[in-house]
Amino acid sequence: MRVNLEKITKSFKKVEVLQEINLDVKDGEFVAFLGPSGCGKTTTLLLVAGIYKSTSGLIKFDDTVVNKLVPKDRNIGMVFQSYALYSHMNVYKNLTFALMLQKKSKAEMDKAAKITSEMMGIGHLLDRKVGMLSGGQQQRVALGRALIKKPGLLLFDEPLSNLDARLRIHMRSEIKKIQHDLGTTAIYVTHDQIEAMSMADRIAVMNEGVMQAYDTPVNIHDKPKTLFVATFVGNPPMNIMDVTLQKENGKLYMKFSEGLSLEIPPSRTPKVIPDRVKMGIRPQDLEIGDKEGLPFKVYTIEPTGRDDVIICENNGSMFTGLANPGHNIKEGENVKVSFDMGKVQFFDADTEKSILWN
Amino acid sequence: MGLKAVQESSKDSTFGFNPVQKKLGNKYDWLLFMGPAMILVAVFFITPVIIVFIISFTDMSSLTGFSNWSWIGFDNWIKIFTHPQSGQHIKVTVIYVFFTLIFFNVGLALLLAILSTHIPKAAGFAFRALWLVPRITPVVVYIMMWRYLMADSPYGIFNELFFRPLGFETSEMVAAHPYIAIILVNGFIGASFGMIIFTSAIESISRDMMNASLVDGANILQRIKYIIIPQIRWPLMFVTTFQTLSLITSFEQIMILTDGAYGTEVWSLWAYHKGLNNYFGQFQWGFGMALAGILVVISIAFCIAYLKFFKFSDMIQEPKIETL
Repeated sequence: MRVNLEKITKSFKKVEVLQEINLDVKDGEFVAFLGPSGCGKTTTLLLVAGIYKSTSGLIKFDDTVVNKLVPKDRNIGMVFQSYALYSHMNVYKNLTFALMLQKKSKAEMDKAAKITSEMMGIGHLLDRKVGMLSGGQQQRVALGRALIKKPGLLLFDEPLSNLDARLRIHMRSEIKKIQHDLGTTAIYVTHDQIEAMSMADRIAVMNEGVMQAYDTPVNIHDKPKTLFVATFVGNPPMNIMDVTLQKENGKLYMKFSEGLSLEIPPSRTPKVIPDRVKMGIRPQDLEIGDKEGLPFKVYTIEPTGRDDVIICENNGSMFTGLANPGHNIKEGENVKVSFDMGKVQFFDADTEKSILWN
Repeated sequence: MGLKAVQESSKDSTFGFNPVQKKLGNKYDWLLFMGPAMILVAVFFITPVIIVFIISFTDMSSLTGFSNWSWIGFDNWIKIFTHPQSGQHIKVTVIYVFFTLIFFNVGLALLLAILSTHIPKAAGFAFRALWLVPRITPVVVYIMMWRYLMADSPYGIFNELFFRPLGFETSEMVAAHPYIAIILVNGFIGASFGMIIFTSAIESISRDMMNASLVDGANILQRIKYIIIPQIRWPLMFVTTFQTLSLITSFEQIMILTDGAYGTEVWSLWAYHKGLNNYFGQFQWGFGMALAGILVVISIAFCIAYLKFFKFSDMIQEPKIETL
């Protein structure tokens, strides 16, 4: 099923929580809504589900406008953050609740429950009360309940955030596999960028009711359209600094207040140069050493196993870099930071939009 | 792994080696927690009940005084079962308790709670506040109000403003429809208690669960039947039990409205009239206590029946099993 949002807005009383959201989801595509709490991603999902009504704009499934349809007529399945299982029913009744409301026969319900529960690995738990299940099992029941109706669209509202870290990684790949195998269109709301990056075909990054970017994970990461996207996506987050761009002898230079000046390669040369520019560079694209570059003092070192995160400080501004665990950088040491100039990002400091990718 | 296994393993690892916890883990600790409540129940419930039953086996009355009474065995109890008015008192009590409970204290309460939680919050709050007015009105004022609502023309509001203009015959409504009168009068007070309990129970059902039922295709009636009612089973049981017991033993509104006239003398009012009122020239303490004793027995029977009917044991869940 294709999903189209056209100029969707939503206000609660006077508060505008969504501003003109435009979005298209292809048939069978897995789209993630990514953003911090309160950015409007769950509101958008509930609009698609039909639980909220949009203030203006059109929602289309395939070519049908569904704005006026109630949730049960939208052919959707939904998984909630709290699982929202019917705690007074057993697993079988939870799974078959929708079928029971559709007045399906007992035989049909039994068959559907058997297929779904076996796919989800909960076949042996059908007569258990859901309160007796572990978090992971409840998650599977919730997913099974959404799938049993064979919906055209699956909606996920932060379904993994109540699970422990190990189980989350496991369920992440499981959900992706099931969605891929069934070929069902899916919209997945999350504030966890790793979930969004690893699961989605395309990611819609949202902040304060505005859609900041809608693109593939790689493009979102490598070609961030706004400062918000750049700093929200990526771990550890991108470093941002104020710089000035200056042309000299036909070449473009990036100048720091410390006096350092670096040449910008043609691939990173913006078309227009605004007055105030912010430079962004990811921690993995810079090198911490003692030869040349910006002077910093090492603030702390955070080992993560694969890399050590080096947090440096200079006149109150923090800067994050990565180093292989074998390094000999020590806390309190003075270091020089040099950049991979082919990977820098530039943003207009006033509009906070990228001047490379817009 | 059941609860027992968990307890045993924790006993081995932690409790066995920790001297402080071992000292606290005394066999009689529960007395410390339950003691104060048990004393209150014993002094203010168990003891009076025992005294009631003891007096019910005597002929104590204002004729015998407190010194000349004698043991008469089951005479008072036999008198209840052979008394010509017993049947009538049972009938009115059953009708009064059943209809007030079903239509008002639980039925109307549930309806009000569901309605007022499905309209905007402020309106729902105002609506519920209005329903609390009868409860906070002094009972004498409240009954006087009903008397003049139901009085015959030209005083009665119903008769004068509705029935007469519409061409119906007017009547003294309390006398003409005494059962309806006592049920209405009690029901309009009683409904607000359940309404408040049910409202908070409905509001505490998770939004996600309500939304999930919408996505699964439930309409409003199906949602009430399959989600709301089962989810508020515990408060439903509490209100039903509590209101049955308080209706069985309450008589003050009926006493002020009819004082038992027109066949509205419910069992508790009968007990009051016999045991604590000298309208007929004597306090029949012994007989009155036997009548009250019947209420105690019936109340306890209702409690047990409700606990079974609402499957109390099901509501206590076993601990979660932490496996994938």
